[in-house]
Amino acid sequence: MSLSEILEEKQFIIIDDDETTLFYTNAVIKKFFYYKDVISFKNPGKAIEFFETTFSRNPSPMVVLLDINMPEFSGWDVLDRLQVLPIDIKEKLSVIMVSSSIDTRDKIKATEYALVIGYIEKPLSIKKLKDLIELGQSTTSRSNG
Amino acid sequence: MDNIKILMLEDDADDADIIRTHLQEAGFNFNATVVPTRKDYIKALEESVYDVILCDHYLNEFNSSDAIKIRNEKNLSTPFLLVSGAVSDASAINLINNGANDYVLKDKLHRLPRAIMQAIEKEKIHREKIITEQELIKNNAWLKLLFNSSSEVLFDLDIVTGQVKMSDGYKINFGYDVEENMTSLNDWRAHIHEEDQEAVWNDYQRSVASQDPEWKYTYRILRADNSIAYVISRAITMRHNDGRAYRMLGSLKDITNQKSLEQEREKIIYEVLERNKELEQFSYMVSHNLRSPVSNIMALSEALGDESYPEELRKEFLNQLNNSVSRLDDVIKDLYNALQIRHNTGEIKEVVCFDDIVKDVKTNIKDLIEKYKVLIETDFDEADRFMSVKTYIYSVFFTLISNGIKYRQPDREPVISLKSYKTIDGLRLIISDNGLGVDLKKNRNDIFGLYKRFHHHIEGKGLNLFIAKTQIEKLGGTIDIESEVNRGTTFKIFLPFVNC
Repeated sequence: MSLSEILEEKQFIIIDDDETTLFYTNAVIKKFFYYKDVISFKNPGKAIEFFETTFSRNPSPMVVLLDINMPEFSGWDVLDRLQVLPIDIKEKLSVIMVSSSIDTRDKIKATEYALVIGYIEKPLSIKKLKDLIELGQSTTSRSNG
Repeated sequence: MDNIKILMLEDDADDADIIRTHLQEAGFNFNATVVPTRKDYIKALEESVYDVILCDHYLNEFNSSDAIKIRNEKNLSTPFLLVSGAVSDASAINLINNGANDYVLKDKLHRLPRAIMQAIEKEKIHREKIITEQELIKNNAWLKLLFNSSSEVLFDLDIVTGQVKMSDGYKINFGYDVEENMTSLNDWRAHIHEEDQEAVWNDYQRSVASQDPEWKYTYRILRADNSIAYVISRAITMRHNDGRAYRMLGSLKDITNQKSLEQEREKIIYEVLERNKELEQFSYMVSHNLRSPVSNIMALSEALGDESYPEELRKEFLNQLNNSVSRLDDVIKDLYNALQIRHNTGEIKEVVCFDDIVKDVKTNIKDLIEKYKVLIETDFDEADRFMSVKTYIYSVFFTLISNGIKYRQPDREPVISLKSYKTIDGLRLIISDNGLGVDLKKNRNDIFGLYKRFHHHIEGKGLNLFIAKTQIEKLGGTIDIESEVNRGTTFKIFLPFVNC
């Protein structure tokens, strides 16, 4: 699957409790992937609910931009819940951790989750996103070959 | 028997020979010195030690009564036998009363060997008894000396009657008069710190009922002056053949100093760990909370530079940029405040009246209290004031009361209650609410952490509990939390007396 194919098929979902982040991430993604739907969740609990109900009934490929430091449910809590979804549902998800954290422990922890395809340090930019998807793709094609 | 040394008081050489013959025939191995006069007798007693004295009654210049008196005057206990042709009952009784062992008539000399053996045996036992007694007296003196001069407190417990003999060290160490206040097991129990009483008593009974040869336990004693002493009690349990314990001999060692050193060490370790945790929190905070507005500013300023965004959107970018800048400023201020309490020292301690503090808090958040119909109950009857730093107590009360309102149940009017208790070493404050509660299984370690928040829908910075904890720790105290989701939260605060 080429980069353009991924980007064409996948929808974006942003989970972040910070309104400013939600606002500009939305704006940035809509500008560059204007043909994409962007779903935002300020409350990670609501996002979990979405994955477990609406999304599970009708799963389609999605890129999840997930913040780490949120109250009640952290990004890790969300991942823990996503991991136990049936395999045919969770395989549609590619999670990118997006955090203001520059703490390396967070980056290491992110690699422990199979669902996570990358880690982006805030601020999110379209360049960082594209780099990550390309990197993920080259790794995938290598392992396939 | 080995060579028996016999002193024979006899002025008739023939009689002496007859006695010798009898003894030889009886198989005696002996050495007899015959003295016929008083002078020779005294000289013999002074120059040598004899196993037995055989004495005729009628002698040249004196008689057997004089002879035994001389022996007694010389403080000798050499067995003394009268060997005489005839003796009146009165004389015999007189002699026996003066310490003679026996008398043998000369026409019944066959009795003599046995009488000598019995007399020597009796003397041997007598001497051993004296030695044993002397040793006992000596040991007793030592024991008495040890019992009351040892740095350890010694005790002797009669398990059956419950009577206790405690050494004087008990008064020196713990302040209770031994004779008046420490004579029974009940006294002993009464002096144990109330939190330890049951455990000590149970273990004592377990040990007595078992076959343990020893009993050892560490516990606290409440001294007469109400201070606390840590002691190790070690005892040997004495048991009958069937295993029943009847006596316990042991010691109490005051280890308060060691204990306080140990506690000091633990306190330092704890403090270092806490500081370390704070540093970790601080780095986490820099990584997340401080960096969060910074990353927003970076993103927004970049977006602002992109002129291809519609004008409307760019206005909103600018708006958000301003928000992020003020948020950054807030975080820096919070950080400064949180760190400052740590470094503040020497705050003035004064008498703080709890009712006044609650009144001040109520005035400050009057609007909230009226809006949510908050009920604040106080019970400071047991301790209504305390020597402390007023601003800290105010801040802690303010935080816990306003948290109780902020995290209230939506369908329940908030009730916040504050109660104070006196303790031996300080004060206990219990502050509870009927609010949302927190899942402590998940969050216990984070509850007082910097920038930790637990409720999504309620605006909070996760700073106040951190500050409250810091302030209480600055006062030397502790704060702990109990909470149940949807039931409420209780904070337990301990504040020690101020060491001035």
